[in-house]
Amino acid sequence: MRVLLFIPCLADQFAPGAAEATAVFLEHLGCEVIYPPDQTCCGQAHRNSGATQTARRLILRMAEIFEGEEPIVTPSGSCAAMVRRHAVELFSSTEPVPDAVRSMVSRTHELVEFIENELGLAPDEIVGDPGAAPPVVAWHPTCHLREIDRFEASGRFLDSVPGLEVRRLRHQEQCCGFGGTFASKFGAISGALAEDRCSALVDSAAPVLICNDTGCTMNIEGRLSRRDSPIPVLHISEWFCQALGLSYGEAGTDQ
Amino acid sequence: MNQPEIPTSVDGKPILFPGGKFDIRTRAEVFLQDEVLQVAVREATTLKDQARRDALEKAFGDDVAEIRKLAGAIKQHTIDHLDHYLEQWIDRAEAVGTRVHLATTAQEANRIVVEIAREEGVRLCVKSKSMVTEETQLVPQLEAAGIETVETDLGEFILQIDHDAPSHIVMPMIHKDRSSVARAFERVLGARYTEEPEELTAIARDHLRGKYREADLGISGGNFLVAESGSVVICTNEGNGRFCTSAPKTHIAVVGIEKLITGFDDLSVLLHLLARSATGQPLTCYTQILTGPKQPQELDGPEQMHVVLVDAGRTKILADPEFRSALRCIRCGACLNACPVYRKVTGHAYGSVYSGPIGAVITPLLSGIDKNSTLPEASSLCGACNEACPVDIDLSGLLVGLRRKIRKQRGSWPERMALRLLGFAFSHTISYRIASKLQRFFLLCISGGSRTIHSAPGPFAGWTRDRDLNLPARISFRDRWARKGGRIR
Amino acid sequence: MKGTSREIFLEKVRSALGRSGRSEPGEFSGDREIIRRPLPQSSDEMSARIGLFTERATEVGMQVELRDRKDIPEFLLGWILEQKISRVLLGQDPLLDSDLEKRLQSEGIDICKNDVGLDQLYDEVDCGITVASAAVVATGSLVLTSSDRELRLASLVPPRHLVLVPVSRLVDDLFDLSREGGVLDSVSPASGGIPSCVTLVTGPSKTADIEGVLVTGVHGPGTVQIVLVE
Repeated sequence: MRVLLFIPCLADQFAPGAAEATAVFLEHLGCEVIYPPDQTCCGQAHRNSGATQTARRLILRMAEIFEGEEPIVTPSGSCAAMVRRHAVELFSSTEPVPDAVRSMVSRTHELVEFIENELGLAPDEIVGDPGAAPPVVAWHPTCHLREIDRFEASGRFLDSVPGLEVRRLRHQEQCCGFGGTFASKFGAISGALAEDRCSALVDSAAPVLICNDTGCTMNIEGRLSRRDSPIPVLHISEWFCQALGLSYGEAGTDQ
Repeated sequence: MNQPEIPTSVDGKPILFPGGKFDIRTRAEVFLQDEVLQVAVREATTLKDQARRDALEKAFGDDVAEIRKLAGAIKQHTIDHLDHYLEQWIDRAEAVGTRVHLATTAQEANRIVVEIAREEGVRLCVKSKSMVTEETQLVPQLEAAGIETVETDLGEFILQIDHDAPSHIVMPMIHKDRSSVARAFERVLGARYTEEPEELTAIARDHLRGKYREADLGISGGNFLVAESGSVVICTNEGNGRFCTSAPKTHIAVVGIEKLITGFDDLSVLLHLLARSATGQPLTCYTQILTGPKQPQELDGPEQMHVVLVDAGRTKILADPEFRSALRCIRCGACLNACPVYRKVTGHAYGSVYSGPIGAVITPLLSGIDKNSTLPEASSLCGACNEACPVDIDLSGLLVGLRRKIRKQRGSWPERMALRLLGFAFSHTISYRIASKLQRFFLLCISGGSRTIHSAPGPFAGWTRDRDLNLPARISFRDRWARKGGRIR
Repeated sequence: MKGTSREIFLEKVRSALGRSGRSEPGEFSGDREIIRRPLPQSSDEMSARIGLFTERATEVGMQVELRDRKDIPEFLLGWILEQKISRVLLGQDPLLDSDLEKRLQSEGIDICKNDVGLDQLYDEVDCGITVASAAVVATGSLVLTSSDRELRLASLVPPRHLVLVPVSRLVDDLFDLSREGGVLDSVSPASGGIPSCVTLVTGPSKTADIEGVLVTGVHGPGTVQIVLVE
């Protein structure tokens, strides 16, 4: 089936390798992946900061770019939550909700959600063993997935991958501290939360962390770097590509 | 006339009433460095958060979400018709002999209580826990009027004699360790120094039992006001609440108007949720449903029961449909226990009677957005509070709503400028491409050519304080896609 | 009435809600009973009720025994002696009759009644013995009511509390307390209004204020012995 790929602005800039892995993975699962090149941002940062007019403009722009019937798939839980839970309320109090926005809301899926619910695939139908991917991972749940009832979901998905051990981190329900502008404006608090997550990761002795949100990844990687704990962080689609022996990313251009 | 010492925090300002413009970061910086405090608060909050989830799941299984929605709808219905139910409550309460008094402001509430106490010739008053009386600062007023007022809730008693202030809605002294209690008891009560909680509790118990016997007046708060019967419901664990409302000859309950519920069916639903959400207990040890003073045939109880209903800004919140749902709050403290920010900064960092997510919402609404603008900003919007709230308040949505108000009123101009620029960059493909090149260039300058930034200036210094920042990729995803002719490989 | 006048106070609330006059709210449309949990399937409902209540009350730290009515004096005596109690406060109730009183006295237990002096109550009574008006299975709670038979303080001041509950007074859930005949039923003509103080007791007095360490018997009784009476 045809899917429209929605790549968050942060991933586009800071984690294009993970974005590529998502596209490669979806293609491997039998999707025809279309990437509307004019997409920019879902307006999450503006909505969260209370700049609702700008957020409204940005989400409407995205809705128009993603017009159509195909499912829209994003590797970012927070962007999926922004569209599904907050796009409509940006309009409702001031003007009728544009059809394009309603359509986008009804067709937007987070990646793992899409695989489970729309493609109807279970992990053991995708992969038989970890292959070249690490067989032991730690897993980080993205807070915003709470908003679409998928907080535990990608962890449980990973649990069902044959041969993969998925370690949960101590206090995993506690936010890693990213929060967008919060990370800079309230840096001391944010940094303390990042340290909690990183020390739990180190204590788990897992060789790699699976994290599906670019913001969380930047935050955790940033703290891991500062405390000299060089544990790699992978998007779930990167793990699956490695397991399936699919190449993605461009050596030397990811930084 | 006693002028009690007002407890102050690390910034030299009164703990709960710093006054002026308040920045949560000032105290947070200090508390984040306090290892002992960090461990104590983390343990208390994570334990209770887990206990809440376990208790609700055990009791209600898969129905928890639906039940929370029901409880939210119950409270919303009541506050949407607060005029009707308030009037009904007043009528029914007066019909059973309760003396009802109405306080528009905090000062008026204090005045009413002091006046009643004076008229009754009260010399000693025992008090059980009440957040609204913290809000109005009742105790200093009573003491200024020459009435000895003893907090009887163990935590509040300790805080009172040690010139400290509560840091959590339900567990008032999670920020305090046993040695400070031991020292306070030794200093103020002349007790033998001991750090054993059982022994310390026994010392307090003996001291307070003497007070119950002698007191002329008992003051309490109220968890619920039941309109159908004119009752006040009080939920406690220690038994001090029962003493305060049963031993002295006069009882005054001071209760915010948002505590109204329509009847006992509502009460059943909310009681099932309150203690489970707060501590994981099915109910608190004691749930008292008080309907009027002692009846003539009853053997004991207060001769007089007064209830002071308090507005103190609640009608302001009521008047704003966007924020009205904040009045659903049943003060269970679950959002505090779930909140990563509360866990790190701890209660006193909020500079308010109400801390945590609910505090970050109602403090600006009650005391002014300008003075408390950092409270709604100090959140990663993780949504843990929404999930914890038994009455389904969209706390993170309310925080965003407050940020919108802040943005309109007086958002700092650099931030407004940055958001405008960002918004412009995202508005067109071309501006986005230019902005992303500029961003990379700018960050390269900061990093001095390396791919990792260790120290950033200005607004980004907050990030690089404790974290590095990797530069964006040389080639963005969109450019790779375009290069490959609109395909993946 | 002190403070703001009723008219002005209510007017403030009304105008906050955007109303000019009185309003009739209309019925709340949700179904509150979804919170009610069904009893486990059993051919003997009363047994199921007793079993579940016992489990829940024990979980919150109370002790529960089930006895036939005729065995009450024996049980009480045994328990009092075992607890090394020397003075009790006996409420007034058919279940706490003069036979029981005589039995206790003959074993050297001092009996106080409802006219006990405050000094004696606070300083000398080891245990209050009362009868509950109801008990709630869903939460493992006792329901005590103020009355002409018992002091409110009888179940509060002494460090131990022994309470008798006829099993016929077990109700399934909190809702049932306000149904017809319940202690919170103020609607039915037979009810005559609600007692001034209805207390649900769900465990011995406790606190964990000092470093989260659980301590029982803070102000209220640290020991609660329930005797279900068949």
